[in-house]
Amino acid sequence: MSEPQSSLLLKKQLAELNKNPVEGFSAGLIDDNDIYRWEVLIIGPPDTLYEGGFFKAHLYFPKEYPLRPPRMKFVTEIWHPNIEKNGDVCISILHEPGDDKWGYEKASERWLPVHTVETILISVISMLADPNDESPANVDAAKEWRERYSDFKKKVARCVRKKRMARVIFGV
Amino acid sequence: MAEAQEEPKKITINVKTPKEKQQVEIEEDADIKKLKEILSTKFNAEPEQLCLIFAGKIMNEHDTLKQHNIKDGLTVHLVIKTPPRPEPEGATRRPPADVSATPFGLNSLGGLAGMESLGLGQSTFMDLQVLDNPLVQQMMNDPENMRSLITSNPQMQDLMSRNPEISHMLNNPDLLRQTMELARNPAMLQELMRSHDRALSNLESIPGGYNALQRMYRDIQEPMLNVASSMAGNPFSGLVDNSDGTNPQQGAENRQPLPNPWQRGGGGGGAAPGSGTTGSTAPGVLNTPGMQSLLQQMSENPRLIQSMLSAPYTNNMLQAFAADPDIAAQLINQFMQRMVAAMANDHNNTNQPPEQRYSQQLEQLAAMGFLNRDANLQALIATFGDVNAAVERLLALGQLSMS
Repeated sequence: MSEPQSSLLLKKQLAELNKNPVEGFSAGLIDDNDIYRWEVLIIGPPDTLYEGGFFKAHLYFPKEYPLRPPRMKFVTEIWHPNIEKNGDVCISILHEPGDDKWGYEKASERWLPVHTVETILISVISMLADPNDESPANVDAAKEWRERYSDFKKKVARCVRKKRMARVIFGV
Repeated sequence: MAEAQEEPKKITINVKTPKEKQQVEIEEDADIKKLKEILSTKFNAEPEQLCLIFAGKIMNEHDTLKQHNIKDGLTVHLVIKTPPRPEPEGATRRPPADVSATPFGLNSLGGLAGMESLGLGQSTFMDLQVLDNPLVQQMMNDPENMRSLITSNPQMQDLMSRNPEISHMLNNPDLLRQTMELARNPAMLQELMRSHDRALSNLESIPGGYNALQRMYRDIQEPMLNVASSMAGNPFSGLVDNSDGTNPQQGAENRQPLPNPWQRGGGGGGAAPGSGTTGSTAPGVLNTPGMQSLLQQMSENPRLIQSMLSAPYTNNMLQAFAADPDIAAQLINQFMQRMVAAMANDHNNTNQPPEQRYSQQLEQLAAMGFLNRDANLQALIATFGDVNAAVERLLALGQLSMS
């Protein structure tokens, strides 16, 4: 029985990422036997509020990948306008392909089968550095980012500090 | 042929930091600790500063390369941490006490903060719990036990699943034991209590701890403080305010001192029961109308009790109490003695109403833009006048800019 295309593609990406990891994140599987569920650790990008933090996220790929996008969810607490409070990442390239029924996004901004774990993560990392407050997932965070930036900064710092403190304490 | 394959096979690993990339050779069955040692010379950093990441996971010192499936030619990420706090105190390595005592949860999760508003200085309570409670001592001597205690708390479980670091900590018995050692050392704890605000912010720094703290304030301390500040039957007036005669009830209760079930404690505290005027609230504390109304409050508020009792070690202790009434009796005796002593002290220092005692701090808070004087006062009472801690608290409760 031949493997589905999605699994082959993902395996290839995983092998490549292990050999030549990309700046800013590290990717692996949640369970070594399930190629559809990935675990990534994003290293807080330098020169952003998130610098110094480690953020763990999960990616869930559908069997139809690459025709349909994966879901991405932060497991680590993170305060960001485009990440829901439960960790779900709201980014246009992860939205189902085709035209946006709300008319916000062009089809070209949405999911395209050319995207890989690498391109997704690069988008997410750049999103961390540069939030898009026009279609926020965490409205409170977006409002804070826009109106009370110092409070926003404080909250992000708290997330990062938690992580850093954990490393200091636990030596991990 | 001459080259016997005695030595384990060496593999080459690429190590990548945000700035550079290096290759290291290492035995394929080495552990992460070894790898860190090698890297520390290459990257000019202490091994403790290194954080290795592979396949989406932070690698623990005790793991081996094999465990993480690291093979020849693969690349791992390396993050070099800046030393924890480069500020003045950084010169001598900061004792890990204050940080590590917190995640351990003694002063955080069990509703102890609620006790604080009862006027039991946190230090007093901790001190006594740690020193005098054989149960706790026994418990803490056994990391495995501690671990299961901690992990049995669903909240902790949640924390652990969301934060791999915490489970790392719990899987390291040495670290856990060390933490307990520190927690048991009263001097260290005193120090910890002196830097109450730092402890508080450390508490926040545990992943999710901030939320736990906030929830705790909401569920326990707030109701208690509300009770405390409501005029009628202020159960804490004798404990927190100690405002001489400002509360009519206090006067009333003093005129008819009730028998003290923990008579021995009265002696220890130095405040003779029935000495009349002001000081005698302490000894008969459980029989005072105030305390009774507190008990009533508690019985009317099952959620409060529930949240206090649902802490795993409370459960455990209660079970142990039930199993061994002697220990329980002894414990309660000691507890009362300590409490009475503490309150006698407290009374001497703090016979001003909190508005006066904390007037300076109140001004400071107002100057910082905290306009809600009542909230400020409550925060100061709860933090024993520590402005920094009060600010943290106010921010946590979202009191900023509300007038």
